[in-house]
Formats: sequence, structure tokens, C-alpha cells
Amino acid sequence: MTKENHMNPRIAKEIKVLRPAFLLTLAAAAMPLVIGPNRHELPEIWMGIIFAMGCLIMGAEAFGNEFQQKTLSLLLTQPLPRTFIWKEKMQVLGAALAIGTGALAGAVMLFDRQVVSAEDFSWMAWVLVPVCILCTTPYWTLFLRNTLLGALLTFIAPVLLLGINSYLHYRWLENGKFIFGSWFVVNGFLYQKWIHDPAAEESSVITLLILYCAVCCWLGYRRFRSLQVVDAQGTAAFRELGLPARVETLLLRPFKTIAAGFTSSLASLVKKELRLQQITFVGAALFCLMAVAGAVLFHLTVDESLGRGWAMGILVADYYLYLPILPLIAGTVAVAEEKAWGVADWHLTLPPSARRQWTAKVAVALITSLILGLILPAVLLLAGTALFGGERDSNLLLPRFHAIRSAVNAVLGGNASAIAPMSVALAFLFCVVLAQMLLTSVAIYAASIASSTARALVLALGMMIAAGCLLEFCAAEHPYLALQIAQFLRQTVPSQMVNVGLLNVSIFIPLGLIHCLAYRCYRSRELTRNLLRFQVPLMVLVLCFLTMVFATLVAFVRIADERGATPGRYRVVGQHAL
Amino acid sequence: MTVSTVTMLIQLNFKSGKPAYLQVVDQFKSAAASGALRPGEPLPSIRPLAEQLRLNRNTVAKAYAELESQGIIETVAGKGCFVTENNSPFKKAVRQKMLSDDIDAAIVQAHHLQVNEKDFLELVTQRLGFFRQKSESNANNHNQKDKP
Amino acid sequence: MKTENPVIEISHLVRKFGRSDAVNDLSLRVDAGRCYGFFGRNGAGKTTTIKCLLNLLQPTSGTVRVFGLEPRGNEVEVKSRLAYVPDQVAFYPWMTVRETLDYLASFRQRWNRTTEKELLGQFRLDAGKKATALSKGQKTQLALIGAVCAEPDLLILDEPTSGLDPIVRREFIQTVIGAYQDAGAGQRTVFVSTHLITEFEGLIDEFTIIDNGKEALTLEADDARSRFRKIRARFAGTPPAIDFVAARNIKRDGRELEITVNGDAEMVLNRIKSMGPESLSMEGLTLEEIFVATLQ
Repeated sequence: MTKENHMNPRIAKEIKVLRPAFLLTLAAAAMPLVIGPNRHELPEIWMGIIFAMGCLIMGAEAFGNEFQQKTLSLLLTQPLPRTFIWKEKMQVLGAALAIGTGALAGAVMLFDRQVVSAEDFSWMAWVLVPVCILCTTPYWTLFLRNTLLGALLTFIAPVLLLGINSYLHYRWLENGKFIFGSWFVVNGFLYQKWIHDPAAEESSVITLLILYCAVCCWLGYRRFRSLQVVDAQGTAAFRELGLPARVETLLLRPFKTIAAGFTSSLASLVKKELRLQQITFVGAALFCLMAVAGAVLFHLTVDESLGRGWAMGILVADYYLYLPILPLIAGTVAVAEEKAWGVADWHLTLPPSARRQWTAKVAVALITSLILGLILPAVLLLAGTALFGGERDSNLLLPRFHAIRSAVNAVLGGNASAIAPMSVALAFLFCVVLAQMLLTSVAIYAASIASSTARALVLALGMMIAAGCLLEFCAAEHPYLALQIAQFLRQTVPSQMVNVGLLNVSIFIPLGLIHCLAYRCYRSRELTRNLLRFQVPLMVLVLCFLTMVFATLVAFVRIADERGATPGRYRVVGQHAL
Repeated sequence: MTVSTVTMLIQLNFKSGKPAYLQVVDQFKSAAASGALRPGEPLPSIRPLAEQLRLNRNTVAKAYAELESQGIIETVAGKGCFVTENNSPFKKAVRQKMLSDDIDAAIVQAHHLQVNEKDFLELVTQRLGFFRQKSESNANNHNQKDKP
Repeated sequence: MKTENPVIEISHLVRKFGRSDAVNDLSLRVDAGRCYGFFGRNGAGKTTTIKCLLNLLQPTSGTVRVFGLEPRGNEVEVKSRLAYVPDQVAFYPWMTVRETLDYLASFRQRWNRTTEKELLGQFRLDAGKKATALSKGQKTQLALIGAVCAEPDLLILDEPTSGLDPIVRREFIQTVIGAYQDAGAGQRTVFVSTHLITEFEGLIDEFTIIDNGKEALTLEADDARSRFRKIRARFAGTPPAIDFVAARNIKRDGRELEITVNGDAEMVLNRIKSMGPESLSMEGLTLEEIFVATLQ
């Protein structure tokens, strides 16, 4: 093995492993390019979240990939010192993270300066995320021997730490006990910040994170050096997203006794699919816990206090992360896990027809996703606002149903003060249901192409970014097209019901198409060039179509906003446009 | 007669070019002729024998059918297969014709192996003596087992 | 003994992958009650053919019929009458042995609990153990139990015994002969694709050898064993040139000559004898040796 090779094959392999997640990171970094100077809060939050997720998956894949592909024994029996292997992996990971962060920084600086010049912008935060991932993700992945759980814990552990830190700070500010204070005092001294300045928390956060990163880095290094390859055949099959076996059996015992009565062929299929979806249920349970914690905190604290801010933060983060991600998880686990275990092919040789098996799978995934991903949050929200909310200002939380109906009415161009009829409101809500199913379906499609759960998630997220960028691009850059479509619809199809019906149909069509494509991919089980050649243009068309639909919707909303602001103006504007 | 005893007697040789069922038939016949299988002894049924020899059941069934048609064994309804008394239902001439086919095969083989006639006849006498001895010692063993 | 309705009928099957042909014009026919062997080198197209039988792959051209029906259009009818043991056996990680068997039973009309109990005892499988915690041999045994207890009319085995220890291999074949063929060997058909031919030698009635996607040889096992002969001769000097049609493989090594013959062994033997060898012998071939001789 000469060192003069063009590229060290090991490094090449590491790069190849990290490539999909790296591309995702670059895509997120490229978003400011597409969005441009029009600053909207939502895409930026998304940019940050997806960038972080891309970095997380990269960090987890660097080591987790060896567990997944069962190549760990091969790697560790090579005549290379483990420290050397560790160094190589970390180098590639570090380079990838650095390039990604650099790209993001560059894009932001060049195209979206407003972000940088905002008040609450902190360079430290942006830099600390990749550094944290670089140092801690390898350790968690090695500790849990699992890609996605490692990524999850990388995210959760600092949040917990920071939460504790913040709580301690809050308590110290409140009663100034020295035992809490010493930590902050030391930090204040280090950073020359006045010790009673609330911003002392910020400096302590930085120190805390740096310490945490250092400790995890060292722990990870030690772990890799002494890693033992537990027999892959012997222990339970590698499950990308799953609970430890004992916890699983404990939690599922009551369900097993209920379900034991159903033994027909269809019931077996459904039971198996539900079991596959167990991680979705776990996610929903976590969500409920967080939501309840946030609501309780909200209730216990007074307005404008730090606690209230925390409560709002928890609730908002909870909902914003949960709503889009749960459908993706539900969709990917339905298909990708079986592929990873090698059970997918064999299962198709059992008596139930392939169509029936696929239908059961998709139905369970969609319904689970719907119930857990839409109905559950909505119910919690309604219950929460009923119990704790009252009439307080809640511009981030959805208003109650009555308010929904008036909003729908406004969007669809009715009288500003009236509310939309029940049927229209329900039809609009059905639209939302379809949109959620669309998300799940995109994940199912991604999983039927990809070879592992992690890759399926990356692909699904990538598709969502593409869609989001296109949406922003059209709605923001070329609002006139959308506006014209919206106005055209208003003029020619005055009935609200038909408008909403059209919206429903226009979401239903791509939904159906994606399912057909997913079924094709599932049945052929190998991604031939023909298949891709046929499907990629079709997906692009679907994407464009969807973008038009959403752009029109956004246009509707804009018009409604304008109308809301100055009720009489629209008619004048509309007449001129005619 | 257990399955394992029978399989000790039967050794399949897939290199011999002879169909498997015929090998079973022939080896049964030689066992019966040498006295290792006594008349009236029960034979294992088809399934366990096929499992032990790892032969297709059809093959074993065919072998049993052939043995029955040659009168070596007989099936008693409800009880199984038993070795018959050494009375072949065929006429003497037919039996001798069947034997002469085998003798012809031996002669051809001798020719291939370049064994001359004198040595061949000597060998025949030797083999007859061997079988006689074996039969006598088997009879002795059975007598000894019968003694209390 | 050709019956009217063959259990498997493949005619001129072609299956391409991209531009290469995995299977190219393969035809074979399996009658009911037969044990049919499907032999070939690694990558010859055996698994592809089996996948076409199971409707996991669609043929590029040619027809495949199982029980007289096309697997594509009559998926459920075909699949409910057959059972498949794959080469890479995999199960759901949360299912125990018991649960896996119950799961498989839920899809079948008939399920023989007695046989299941018998076989579990015979293989000494712990019903409460996780299916993925079993060793490779035990997993294959579990897959076989799952196939045999369903009492299918056709059992398709794809390289079932590769990677297993000799005892497990023997038990596997004994189970196929014993438990599977129990209902009357005339109704139970076995289609086994393997490259461990010695193990299945006694079981096979008829076989096809596939080479590079094409059929190389189809014969009844007994026929094959009676036709193929290996003739060894030693000469005083260099062996003469052999130019017979029936002689398949000719090997020379110093003074030794070895010829594999398909068919007219007597004639070849006499011809060689006429060349005056020092010593001459002839022996039959096992199926595995026939396989090697055909493909070399």
C-alpha cells in the first residue's frame, strides 16, 4: 500500500460513508442562496434544524456505519493500530463538518446578512454545534452501538446538561446561594462578565459545553481503543431504531395478551406492522411527556418570567420538531427495517399476495402516523389550552376551532367577519390530513429506495428541503404567478367548497403517484437504472406540481392577510388587476 | 430387526453405476442368502429406512416392491414386511436364468481385470466356501443367543 | 412416467439484469412427487430462476408455470401450495421460535401441530428463545419446520445446507425425507437448488445442471449414474491421442490416461484396450463428479 496513491482507500471509504448526510448538510447550507434576502423566520429555523440533523447523522454514521454493515470485525483485525483508525475517521469527520459549517457561514454571510446582524445572533452557538457533534457523537454511537440512537443521545445529552445549568442559574439568581453561584462566579471571572449579569449564563454554557466535549472525546477514544466486537449473529438482530430488548418485552406484555385473540392472516400482518412501528409510539410518548412538562411549567410560572419563557420554548420546540419528523419516522421504519434484516424478500414468498402485504404495511403506517402525528398533538393542544391557556396571547399556538373557521373563511376569500361553513372548514382540515399523509408517503417512498433507515431519513429530509426551497423560491420570488392563479380561482370558482375540494384533489394526486412509485420500488427490490430514469423526472414533476399548489395556498393566505389589514383595499386592487 | 442393523448391512455406493434401488435389492438378497437375515424376520418400514439411508422414499419403496416380486420378502397386512422362507416362487429354470445373468457379468468383469479362467474358477470355489463359513457361524451365534 | 400436470414447468426462460443475462433460455419440467435437483456453479442463475418461480422476479421472456398457473397472475393460489426455505434465513428480531411459527401458521390453511412438536423436539429447539439468537444451523432448522408443517405440495429449497455442520445437514435431509414426504410421496414435490450435491445424492430423482444461465444437462439420476463412466489406463509409453465423440474429459499425466465417458462406455473401453495398455479400470461416477465433468 503505497502512500503515493491518489487517495488512501480507507479515507475514500470514509468519505463515501459520510457522503449522503454531507450532501444534506450542504443542501441546508445552500438554502439562503435560494431563499435570498427575503427573510422569513420559518425557513431559517428549518435551515438550522436540517443542518444540525445532517451534521448529527454524519457524526453518527462515521462509527455507526461499522455496526450497521457488520464490518467492525473486518476493520479491527487489520494490521493497523486502533489509534490510527480513530484518527483517520475523526479527520474525515472533522473535515466534513468544517466544510459544511464553512459553507453555511459563507452562504449566510453572502446572502442573508440580516441573520448575522440580528441581536440574538451568537457565533459561538453556530460553531459549538459542529464541534459538539465532532467530539460527542462518536462516543455515544460507540456506547450504544447504534447509529440513530447515538445521534439521538448526542442531541438529548447537551440539552439536558444545558437545562440543568439553566435551572441552576435561575435558582442562583433567585436566592443567590453560594453553592450554585461558585460555578457561575468562576465563569464570570474567566469571561470578565459581571457576575450578576444574566448573561453570565451564556459564558457558563460555553465552558460547560467545552468541558462536555472534551470529556466525551476522551471517553470515545478510550472506548474505541478497547471496543469488543460482540457476536453479531448471537445477539438480537441489529435494530436501527429500537428499545433495549428487556424494556420492549416489559412494555408490550399487556398488548400481547389483548392481541393474542386475533389470529387470522390479516391480523397477523397488522400485528407485525404495529410492532415495526413501535419506535413511532415511543416517539409519541416522549412528545406527550415533553408537552405535559411544558404545560405544567407554563401553568406554574408567571407571565414574562424565565420559567414561562422556558415553558414556551419547550412547547414550541416540541411541536415544531415532532410534527414534521414523526411522519418521516413512521414511513421509514415501515419499510427500511425489514430490508435491513433481510426479511423483506422471504416475507413476499408467504401466501398473502404482495399487494395485500404492502397495503397492510402502508395502511398501518399512514394511520399510525395520522393518529400519533396529527390527532394526538391536536388533542393535547386543545386540552392544554382549555386547561391552562384561557385567553392569553398565544400567537404561536393554533387558535380554537371557532377561530380556525374564521381563518379558513378569510383565506378562501369570504367576508372578513363571517366564518366559513362547517363543511368547508372540515374539508380544509381534511386537506391538512392529506398533507400529513403526504409527508408519511414521501418517507415510505424514500425507504423503498434506500438501503437503511438512516439513509432513508436522509433522503426524505433531502426531498423536503428541495420542496421547501422550491416553495420559498416560487412564493417569495415570484408571487405574481401564485397571486394570479389565486385570483383566477377566486373569480372563476367562487364557491369555497369547490376551492377547498380542488385543493384536496391537488394534494391527493401526488399522494397517489408517490404511492404507486413506492410500490414499484418495493416490488422490484433493486434500483435499476431504468427505474431511476423513469422515476426521477416523475418526482420532479410531482414536486413542481406540489409547489404550485402550496404557492397558491400561500398566495391565498397573503391575500387574506392584506384583506385583514385593510378590508376595502382588495376590491380596488382586484379591479385594477382585472 | 432394527433400522440400524439393516443399514449396517446395506452400503450404498454411488460410484458403482448401479441404480440405488437395485443396490438395496441386491444387498438384501445377499444378506438373506448369507443368513444374516433370517426367514420370518421383520424389516423396518419404508420411512425410517429411507431416513437412515438418506434415500428418496420412492427408491426404497421400489426396492421393497422388487424384493417382494422376487419373493425375498412378503408383506403381511397390518404387521409389516417379513423375510420369507428361502423358497423362491420362480421355477428352477427361471431362477437359474436369473443367476446366469449375474454369472455373465462376473465373467465379463474378470475379462476386463485380466483374470484367466482357471483363477476365476478357483475364486468361485473360494467365495462359496466363505459364504458357507459365514452361514455356519451366524447359525452358531443365533443358537447361542437362544440359549438361556 | 410423464404426468399431465407438471408441478413446475419452465420454458425458454430468459431473465436479464441490465445487459447481462442471468438466465438465458432455460427449460425444465418437474412432475409431481419427484425430488428435483437444480445444480450449478455460483452465479449460474439458480437463485434467479427460483425467484422467478416465486414471483419475486418477472421473467424478461419465456414462461414459468407452477401447478399449471403463472405465479404472476395467480399469486395467492400458487404461494399457498408451496413453501420456500431461502439461503439467507432471517427472522424478525423480536419474535421467539414459538411466535415465529405461530406467525407463519397464521397465513396457512393447514398447519400440522403434531409434526411441529415432533420436529421441535427432534432438533432440540427452545420455543422461548429469540429466533435471531439461534445459531445458523438452528435458524435453518426453524425455517424448515416452518415450511414442512404447512404441508405444501411443493417444497422449494435454495442452497439450504450451505454453511451448516455435517450433523445438521444430515438431519435436514432426513427431515425432508421423513416429515415432508409423509403424506404420500406421490403428492409431495421437492425442488432443491444446491451445490452440495453429495448430501442430496440419495434424494434426487432427476436433475438439471445450469451453467451461465443455460441448461447444460438434464437427466434422471439413475440414468446419469449408469451412463457416466471414468476409464483409467496406464501405458508403457506416452498415451496415444484419443479422438472419440463420447469421451468428454481427457486427462493425461505422464503415462496415465483418464477419460470420462457419457454413454457408450463399452465401445470406448474396447477401443482403449485395443491400444494395449498396461492396466485398465473403469468405475462409475457420483452425481457430484458428473457435475464437475459436465462443467469442466
